[in-house]
Amino acid sequence: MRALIAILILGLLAPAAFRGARAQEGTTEGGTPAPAPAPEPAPEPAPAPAPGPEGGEKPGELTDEEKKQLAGAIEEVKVGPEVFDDGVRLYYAKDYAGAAARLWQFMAGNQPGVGNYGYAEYFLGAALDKLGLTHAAMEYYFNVAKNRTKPELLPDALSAIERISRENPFDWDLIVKDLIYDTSFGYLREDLRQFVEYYQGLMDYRNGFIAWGQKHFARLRPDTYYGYKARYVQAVYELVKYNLDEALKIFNDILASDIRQADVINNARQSVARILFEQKKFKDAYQMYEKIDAPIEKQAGVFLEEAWTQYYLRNYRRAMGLLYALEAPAFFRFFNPEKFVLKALIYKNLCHYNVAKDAVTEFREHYRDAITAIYDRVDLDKNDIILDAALQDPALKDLSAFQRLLDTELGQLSNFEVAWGEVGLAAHLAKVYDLKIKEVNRSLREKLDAAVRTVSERLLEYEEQMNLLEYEIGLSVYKRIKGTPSQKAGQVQKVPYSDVKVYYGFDGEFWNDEMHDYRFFIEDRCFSEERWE
Amino acid sequence: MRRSRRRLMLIVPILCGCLWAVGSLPARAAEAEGEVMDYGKVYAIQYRAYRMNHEFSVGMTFLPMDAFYKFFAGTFHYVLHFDDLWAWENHFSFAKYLDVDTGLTKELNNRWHVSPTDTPKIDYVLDTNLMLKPLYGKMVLFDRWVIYSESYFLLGLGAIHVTSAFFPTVDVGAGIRVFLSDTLSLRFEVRDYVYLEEKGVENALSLGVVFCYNGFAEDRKVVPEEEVESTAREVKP
Repeated sequence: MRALIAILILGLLAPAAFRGARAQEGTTEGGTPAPAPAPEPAPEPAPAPAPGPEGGEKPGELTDEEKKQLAGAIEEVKVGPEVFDDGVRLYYAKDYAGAAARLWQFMAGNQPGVGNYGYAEYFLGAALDKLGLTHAAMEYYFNVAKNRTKPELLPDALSAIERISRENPFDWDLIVKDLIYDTSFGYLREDLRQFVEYYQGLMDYRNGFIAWGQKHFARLRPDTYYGYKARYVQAVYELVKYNLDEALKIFNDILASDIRQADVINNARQSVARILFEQKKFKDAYQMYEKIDAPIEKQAGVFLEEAWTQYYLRNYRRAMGLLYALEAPAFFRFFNPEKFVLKALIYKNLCHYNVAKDAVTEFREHYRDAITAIYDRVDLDKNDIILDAALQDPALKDLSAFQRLLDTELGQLSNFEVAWGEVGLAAHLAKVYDLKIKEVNRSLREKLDAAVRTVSERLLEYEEQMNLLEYEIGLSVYKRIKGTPSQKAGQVQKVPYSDVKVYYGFDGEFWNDEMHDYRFFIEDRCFSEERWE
Repeated sequence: MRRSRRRLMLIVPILCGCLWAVGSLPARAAEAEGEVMDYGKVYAIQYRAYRMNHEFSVGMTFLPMDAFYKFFAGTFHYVLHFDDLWAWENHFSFAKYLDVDTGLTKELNNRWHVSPTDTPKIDYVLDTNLMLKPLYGKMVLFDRWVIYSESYFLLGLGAIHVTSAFFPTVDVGAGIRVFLSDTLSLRFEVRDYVYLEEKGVENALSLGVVFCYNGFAEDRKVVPEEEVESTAREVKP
């Protein structure tokens, strides 16, 4: 907007200068190519993102000095098509930082309607993408796809958006709500159409427009990645309706496919395992859990659910082994009060009453501050445990992952200070990231209150369960003391010298490939229980 | 002097082997004396990722001990693995040694005008060994990839052909096998052959790299069984 005002002022004060500025856009009044003026760096450290990339600011009153300064800036920022050409050349020469600087120079010195402005946005996005600044890249790809000043770039921009959305956290509101859900793209090539239809259908399902969602999903090819993702959404919808058999049928269809994308397959496996668990088919459920091959750090929930299946199968050693796996540093922040409940139950079922009570104490020690904070009704989000747990809420997980990405990429901007500082791109991107971080934080804050309340309620429920368990353990101790035998002639297991199985004694070092294979060997002391049955 | 040096060479590897074996004993002994699993200990129990069956291998060895000549040899092995602990290395190792002149003879002649008598050269060795594989485990390469390996010890009898005659030999050895896949593995080993020739007891140390193919590997592939725990009885809590 400032540039616009400056151009108007210049138009009044210096017509010759105005003609000069037009000439930089590549044409003259006579239609002959204009002589290309030598590109010069912008004199200001941070030229405002002219009307273009981020939208304008409200026009305010400028002082005379500012007007002069601005007029001077416009006179000095001589950015013709050769700057754009230079940027594209640098991009293909794989000098992405240099390309981004030149393309930004071109955009900052031209109006959005200028011939190559759309291309400049695309190449700037692509250069930022190559440099690992995915959010900034998404912003420019968004402009290209939304404005479509260069419709021929739409497939490339959408393709880049699709790739980034699969590999990184991204701005859901910007890409899905504002771009995909809110835009009619017309004809798209098949793979991009799949991407768009899937997200449009997903949004319809989320918004309760099931019939519309089904229409979108019906247009998807069933044997594609997004086709299976759509099937997954439909299965989850059946689950919500508690139509377990139908949901199971759809999940099994997904599992029977030859799809290679692990996220869909693993989600389907976990969902099937949960349904089987609900149907009390614990053995089948466990086998399904074991098939999940997600990265180990994402399997905390899987380990806990597996431990429960093993508990119900009365394989207590295995269940305890899985609980041991949850002690790994990778799961340090995993909110897991259930672990203590299960541990106490297992010890109690093996008649190790003292350690069962220790598990109750351990729970209280671990969550003492959090529980105290809940009872005292102090700011719950100031408590690390509650805050961490709240951030694991599915509603916040993606948002907090996106916030971490923004923080990381903002930090990376300092690497390009030398290349971008002078042209103002570094300051501009810092501002973009800063604003987005503020927005995400605000959104997190809004959702956090509800999540914190949910976590607190869950924690109180677990505390209640632990109290009940402690009482039951006390009763069992009393019953046990009255039993006469104190020694059990039990079967002794030894580590064989050589076997098809290898026994690695656990010494505190967690190996990812061993996580599923821990066994906690513990004596079963319930040898006189039958007396009391 | 030369004789005592050779004796030393004979004793050192045997001593090292014994120390290694003795060093690994206490842990196992503790188990044998009653270190049972039922006392609050956690084990990671895994099926062996790789199991050997009929092993066919070729390798290259280097014999560094002779001051006058350095010997390289091609070796051929067949190993029958009875189980995960014992194997019989039916070491038809037909090894024809290629001699590489170290230049020592020439140097002695030039500097001291001494011409050493012709030293006997090893031509080939045939031996058969018992293989003990007490160590099996895994290592991490660059904190990225898990590498499985096993260590083994060898004790065997054979015949060594030196220049023009066969001599009986006893050999000891140790090595480590790195598994590359179900069927392929690499062995790095050291062996010492002790043999009685006309002049007395001699020994030949060899360092080798062996490339192994595991024949009929699928026959040894483990199908995981369902575990039934002793706790899996009906207990009413």
